[in-house]
This record gives sequence, C-alpha cells and structure tokens, in this order.
Amino acid sequence: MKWFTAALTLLVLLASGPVRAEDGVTDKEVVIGAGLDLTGAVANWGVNIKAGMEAMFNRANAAGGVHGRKIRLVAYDHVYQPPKAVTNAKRLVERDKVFVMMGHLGTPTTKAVKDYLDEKRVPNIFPATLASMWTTSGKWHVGDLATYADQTGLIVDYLVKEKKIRKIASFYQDDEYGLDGHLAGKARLKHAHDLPYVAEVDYKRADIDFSSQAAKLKESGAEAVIVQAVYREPPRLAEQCHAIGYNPLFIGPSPIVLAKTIELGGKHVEGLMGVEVYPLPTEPGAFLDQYRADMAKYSPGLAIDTTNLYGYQKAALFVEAMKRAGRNLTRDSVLKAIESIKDWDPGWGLKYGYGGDNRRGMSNAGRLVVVKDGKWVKVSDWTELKEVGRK
Amino acid sequence: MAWRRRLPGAVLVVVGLGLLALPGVADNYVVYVVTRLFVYVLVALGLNLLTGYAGQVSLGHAAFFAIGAYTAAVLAERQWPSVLCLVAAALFTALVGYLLGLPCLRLSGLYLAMATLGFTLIVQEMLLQLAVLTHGSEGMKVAPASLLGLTFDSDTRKYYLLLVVTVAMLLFARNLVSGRMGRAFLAIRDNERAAAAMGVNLARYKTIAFALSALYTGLAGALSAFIVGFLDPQEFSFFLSIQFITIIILGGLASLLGSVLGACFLIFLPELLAGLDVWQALVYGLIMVVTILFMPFGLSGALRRYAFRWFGIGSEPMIPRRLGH
Amino acid sequence: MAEILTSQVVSGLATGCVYALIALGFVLIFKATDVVNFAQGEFVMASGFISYTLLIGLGFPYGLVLVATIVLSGFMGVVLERVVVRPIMDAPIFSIVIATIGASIVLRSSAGIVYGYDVLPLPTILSKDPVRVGFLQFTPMDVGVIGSSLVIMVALYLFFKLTKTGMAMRATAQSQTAARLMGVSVKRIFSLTWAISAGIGGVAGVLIAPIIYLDPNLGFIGVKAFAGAILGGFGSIPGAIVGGMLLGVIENLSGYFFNAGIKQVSTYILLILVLVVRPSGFFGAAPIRKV
Repeated sequence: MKWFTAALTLLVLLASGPVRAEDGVTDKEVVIGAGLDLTGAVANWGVNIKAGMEAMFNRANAAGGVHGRKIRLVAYDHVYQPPKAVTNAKRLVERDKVFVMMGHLGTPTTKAVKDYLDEKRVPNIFPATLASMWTTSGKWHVGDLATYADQTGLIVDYLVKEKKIRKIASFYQDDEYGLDGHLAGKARLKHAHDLPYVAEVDYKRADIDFSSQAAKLKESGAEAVIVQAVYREPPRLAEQCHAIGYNPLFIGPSPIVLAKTIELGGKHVEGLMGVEVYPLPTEPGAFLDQYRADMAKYSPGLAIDTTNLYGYQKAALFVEAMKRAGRNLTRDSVLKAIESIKDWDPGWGLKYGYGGDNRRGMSNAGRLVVVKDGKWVKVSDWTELKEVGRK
Repeated sequence: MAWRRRLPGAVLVVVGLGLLALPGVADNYVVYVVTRLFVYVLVALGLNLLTGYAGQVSLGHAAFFAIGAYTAAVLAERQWPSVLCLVAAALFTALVGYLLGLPCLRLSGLYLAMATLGFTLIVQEMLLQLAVLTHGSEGMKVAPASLLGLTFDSDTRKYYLLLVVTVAMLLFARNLVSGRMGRAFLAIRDNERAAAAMGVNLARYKTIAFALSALYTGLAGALSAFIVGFLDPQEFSFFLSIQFITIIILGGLASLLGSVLGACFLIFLPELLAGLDVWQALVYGLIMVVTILFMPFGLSGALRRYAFRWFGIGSEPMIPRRLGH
Repeated sequence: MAEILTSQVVSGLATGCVYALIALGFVLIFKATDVVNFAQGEFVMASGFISYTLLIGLGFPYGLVLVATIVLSGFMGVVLERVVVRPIMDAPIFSIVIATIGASIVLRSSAGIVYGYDVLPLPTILSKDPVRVGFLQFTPMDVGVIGSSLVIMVALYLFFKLTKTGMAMRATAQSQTAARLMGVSVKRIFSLTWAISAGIGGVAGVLIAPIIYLDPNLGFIGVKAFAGAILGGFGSIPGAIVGGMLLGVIENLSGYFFNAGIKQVSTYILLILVLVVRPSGFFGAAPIRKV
C-alpha cells in the first residue's frame, strides 16, 4: 500500500510538471554565457570583449542588479576553433544553463554553434562577428552593428565618388571574415560603379610577412587598397609597401580601427582610413565617461580601446533590454524587448534601433575615420550604411 | 590466485556496463564528451598501429582525419546514405594512406615526421583551394547521420553509434596486433634489417600499416563530422597532429589500453580545467610534463607496472632501454 | 621587375637567416642528445618578451639588452634541460619529445598570462626604410639581421673548431662513450648544448621581434625553421643554415608568383620532393645504422 501511494504521488508530481523558470534565470540571478577566444588568434578581442561586458555587468550589479537580479557572466575559451566552440556551447547551455549566449566571438566558431543554439532555442545575442549572416538568421539571432559587407560598401562608394579613385585593390584575409568584405566590395564596385578590383591579394591569418603581396599590389598600380584585415596586418603591409616605394591609400573596416594599429604602425599608418561603427573610446560624452570610469575600476590593467568598448556597448544594450523586459524575464520577453528598442541613445550620440525582421540588428550606422598625427580622427558624420550583398 | 587473472576481465565488464548505462545516468553534456572521447580513441588506435607498433612516426594524422571528415561530408551533401558515407570515407582515406606510405618507405625518424607534417599542411591548404567541394573557409555543415530511418541527431544516439563502432574497431585492432601482422609490425619497428632478413616484406607491411592507420583515422574523422556537424579547414592543423601524437605517447605506445588512456587524458583533462580560464593551458602543460616525467612509458606502462608490482597482475612490462651511443 | 625580385630575395634571406638560427638550435641539441626540442620556437618567443621587458619595462640600453637576453635565454635552456629532459634521459625519445612539447605549452601560456595575448611591438635601432644600391633594394634592418646571423654562425664555427669545449661537444655528438672515456663530463656538455641552443634562440628572438610583432603564439615559427633544417639535412650544421635561408627565399618568391596559400605550402611540397629524392636532405649524410 505504501508503495502504491508513493508511486501515485510521484506520478502526480511528474505529471503536473515542475514550475519552470527559464533556464539561467532565478530569483536573484541571470546567467549569461559567452564563447570567446581567450588565448588564440583573436585573443585580443576575446579578452577585451569579456572585460568590457564584465565592466558593464558589474556596474549594473553594483546598482542592485536588473529588477533585483544580478548578472553573472560565464565565459569559456574556444581558441578560435569551431569544435571547441561547439563543446563550450554545450557546456554553457546544458551545464551552466545560461539564459542567453552573448558576444560569441569569431565567424567560423559562431557558425559552428548556430544550429545547436537554434535547436536549443538559446538566443545568440550580439555575436562578436560582423559578418552579414547574423542579421538574417532568424528568430534566435540578433546582431548589433553594421556588417563588414555594408562597411565595405561605404568604403567603395567613398573611394570612387569622393576620392575619385578608380584603381582599387583588395587585400584580404583568406577566411570567412576577410571574404565577407572582400566579396561585398567586389559586388558593389561592379554593380554601382562598373569597376573591377585591379588586384586581389590574399594572406593567411597570422601571416607576418607581406613583401610578396606588397610587390603584387605595387605592380597593379592600385591607388587605394582595401584591407580586410585586423589591427595586425595594416601596419606591416604599409611598412612593407613603403619599403618598396609604394604609397597607396589604405582603408579598411572596423576591426582595423584600434589604437593598437597606430601603436604598431607608427608613421607608416599615418593616413590609414577606416570605418567605425560606434564612437571612438577617446571621445567625450556621458556614456563614454561612464565606460572609461568602469574600465578603470574593474579592469585597470587593460588599456581602453575599441575592443573593450565593443563588449561594453553590447552589455549596455542587453541591460537596457532586460530592464524593458521587466521582472518576468524569459527568452521570448527579452527578445521582444530588444525588438522594441528604437532611437535609443545610451549617451554617446549614436542611436540604436531594431532594424526589423529582415534585418535583425541594432544599428546600421558607420562613419569614416583617418589616422592623423598618431590618432584616429573622424572624417565624416554618421551615415546609415546601404545594404550590400556579396554577389 | 584466481582473482588476479580474473581482475582485468572483471574491470572490463564493469567498464562495459558503465558505458552502456551512461546515457541513462549522466547528463547530456557528459554523454557528448564521452562520444568525442570515442572518436579520439579511434584515432589513437590508428596512429598507434603505425607509430607505436610499426615504428613509423607520423605527424600526418590530422590530414587523414580531415580527409575522412570531408569525404563523408561531401558525400552526405550529395544525399548518399550515411553508412556508405562512412565506409567510403574510411576506404578512401585508407587508399590515401597507402599512397602516402609508398614514398615514405625510404624515410625514417625525423625525415618521415617532417614529410608527414608537410602532408598535413598540404592537405589543409587543399581543403581551402578545393572550395568548390569543401566550401573552403566558409565551413561546411553536416547533417546528422541516419540509418534505416533512424536519425542520429540526439546526443544519446550519437553516443551509442560511436560506442558500437569503437568497440568493434578495438576488437579488430586487438586481433591485428596479436596476430601475424602485429608481430611483423613490431619486428619492423625494432630492427628493419633484421626483420627483412627474417623474411618480413618491409614494403608490404609498411604500406599496410599506413593504410590501416589511415582507415581508422579516416573513419574517426567521418564520424566526427556527423557528431559535431560542422567542418572548418583550420581545425585540421599540424597542431592537431601533435595532439594525436601526444595522445599515444602519454597513453603508451604499442598499447591498445594506452590508446584509450591517452585519449581520456586529452579529452577529460581540459574538461576538468575548463573553469580555470587563462590558467587552463598552463596547468595542462604542467600536468603533461609531470605525467611524462613520472610515467615515461605512458599511462598504460605505468598502469601495467603498478598492477604487477602491487597486485601481481600480468607481468612486468618490458622496458627497452635506450643505449647511449 | 629585377628590383622587385631582388628585394624579395633579400628580405627572404633576412627571414631565412632567422629560420637558420632557430634551425641551428634544433640541430645542435639533436646532434648532441638525439632529442628534438619542440620548445625551441618558444625559446625564441620568450627571449623576445624578455628583451621587451628589459628594453621597455626597465629601460636598459640596447647593447645591454642584447647581451642580457642571450644570457637569460641560455639560462632558460639549462633549466629546461635539467628539469624536463635530464630526469628522463634514458626513456624512449618520444617521451622526451612530449616533455618538450609540454614545456613549450607551459612557456607559451606563461607568456600569455604575464604579457597578455595582445601583440607588442618591439622597437629597433635599425631602420626599415628602403635603400637603393644599383638595382638592389633592401633595408638596413635586413642587412642587420643577415649580418648578425652570419657573425653568430662564424663565431659558433670557430668555437666548435678551435676551443677545447667546442671539441668536447663535437666528441660527445659523435660518441658519448668515447667522450666519457676521454674525460669529458657528458652531463655538463648536455647542459652547455641546451644553453647555447637557447642562447641562439635568444638572438633569433631579438632579431626577429622588431620585424614581426611579439605575441605568445610566435613560437610556431619554430615549425617552419624545423622544416628548413630538414630541407638542408638535419644532421649537419651547414645544412640547417642553408636550409633555413633557402626556406626564407622560397617562401617569398612563391608568395610573389602564386598566392598566400601556395606560399605557405610551397616549402612543404619542396620538402617532400627533396626527401623523396634524397631521404636525408640536401646535405645530410645518410645515417650509418648499425645492424
């Protein structure tokens, strides 16, 4: 008889189902996951993005959390390797039970976990890769800033229309990141201006010597070279081009706009141009003051640079979304909250606004900057970038 | 005492039962990790056949892994049935292994290592250049395997698939090494000229070793493609080859148990260290150094030695001493 | 066209010299102890960082930094030999190799923890601006690298040929037993070999850091140097040097004529071709194997 009662109780309990709170959300806490490269090819970004996000979350926690919940970030290192990214994602979702994945770093690595996140219905919020696909991947993915493709569109238009340059070459990293901008630029040149690249020169990530690429670029007679690279390559390329007496205009998308680029390149990067998709970390403004203060407080060892501001602004956006979602925090409610953000300026002159179901991103603005006297300086004002495809 | 003889068998039975029951008692994530372990066990078995038993150093196994993975993926994309994808991948990789073995017949030691390392890098580059097939740096998605209408899309199903294949290949390897082929391999490893003098056909056995080794590793790669679901050329680097070699040396060369233990080391240790953030790699490196300092013959060598000394099980493993020149 | 080609060759030679130095480090240890030191690339990386700290962090003058780095690297080599290699000297070669791999991981991650994974530029006293002489075009930096490398190689050659210790090292490399019989302390020679190897790695680090940027993953250059050593013939010192230089030039030229991907594998394709024809590399003597 006792057995029977016990079994019946168990059945009743099981049938009624547990009162399910959303994964990663408890009364007191929200757990956020991040798959980052902390020791590999783009560790500079991973470490800084993490620091930036943590600074913002620490600020929110110091003020009592969002609707009474403190935010905890759990990050694992995937060393820019897709299989590791998959393992880490599983660990985050199934072990650590994170609420959302945020700032997932790297294009191939994020691609590797995309299907898994879709399957588990875990939102992929503001991944740290501006490849075009993240604004058009469906309900569970939301990008934040202008894509490499759109940025390259801006570059191409600028070169042809304002600088009147028609001989344009492309120097690009031979992987998914480099290809995004490279192909978009090619398409834009062809469709809008009926021009080809005069040279297409690639390089392998982490390559250190570009003397052969420099020679080829010089031979092509290109007056401008679009560099689909990160902060490491433009200094070296510029140096090696100058060494053979070749002085084109170098211009590239947001990943080259770092103080680090200037530090590495010195005089060789004077005149280097880039596209930025959010204000420079050195600019004045309430939000940036707050960011600088938080970075000094929570990560004093790290220099402020666009890389940690990148993470900080992601976190700021998400905290705003959580505030709007209210106390009843679920994945659906936070996604809806994100979609509700329109004309929101955190205090730096740039507004976020959800782009709509066809473009699940929060900002499509960009502006040109140039290295002048050893500093990045703005050249134009914020413009809404045109959408540029890769074909 | 009878229990001494029975103990290894008993342990095996317990482990076997544990493995069978695992998905029922452990959470999904653990199941996934163990599934990955099986993949690496397969690779280790293959590499051990070539390097441990036959004495042919290979840093080329990341390439075999890649060839197996991409062959299966490319065929799967073209709607081939999964079983055929796996078989074709394994056989094709074996063929490549055989072809690689031919020019490598004359090489040994460092030069062989370097040539095989070169092979890894060349294959990795070819994966990018043949983007028409492999999708190059965009990466390639692989749908889960399916057999007779049953799709292996859950972690549990993937686990059992790999468990079955791994056990089968383990038994096959056991047969190989305890038979004529195994003895021929060992003879070649210890002294090629003596082996030849005794009638062992060097060319034949070396190329077979390459082919078998490639078969195992290619199969592992193909299975891994179905498990992880995404392939990217940059994973298949020389660093991966080094990891494979590390597995068999830490585990124990010329030892099936060593292949398993080494794979456990490589898969489980990072999991245990995952929370350590930036310190993870440092601790991992330190543990690696300490392990090899205390167990220069690998985990299996140490296990055998202590099993003998403390429990009298088995026999003292023969330790070939390196003679100074 | 000619000047582009010559500048490619010259800068290739400069990188090649650095490869040659690293390759030399590999070969020295290998000849003396049969061990392939996988941490050689990390010696280069570590010494680059050490020189950075000395130069930028502590503000030492350049000359002192150079000397101090070499000495500290040498010390690092000795420590590695004592702690990681000596205890398992009698174990199978593979195990020692794994120990060096483990050591390389430790070195790399330590650098990462201390300096971060960011990239650090190292300033140089030689300019990287181009100079023209006839149809030749090169930079003072290139000349400096090639020059210093040659000086080191000549110094080593004289050391081995003329000094007593150098001869003792050669004797040990040929036959440990015979050397012991002649009163050579083989253990000390081993330590010395590792010290010199690491020291050479230190020089390579100081030379190459201003050209490429410092980062903990720099050690992977060791693999390329290793290939160069094999290309030239691993058992011989001139082989390692020629192999390294050849590697640098081939890389640059193939990068120019083909694309980045081919550039990277061109060396390995060449390597495999060479090995198929001459299994011991260009200059290597076929090892005499006792039956």
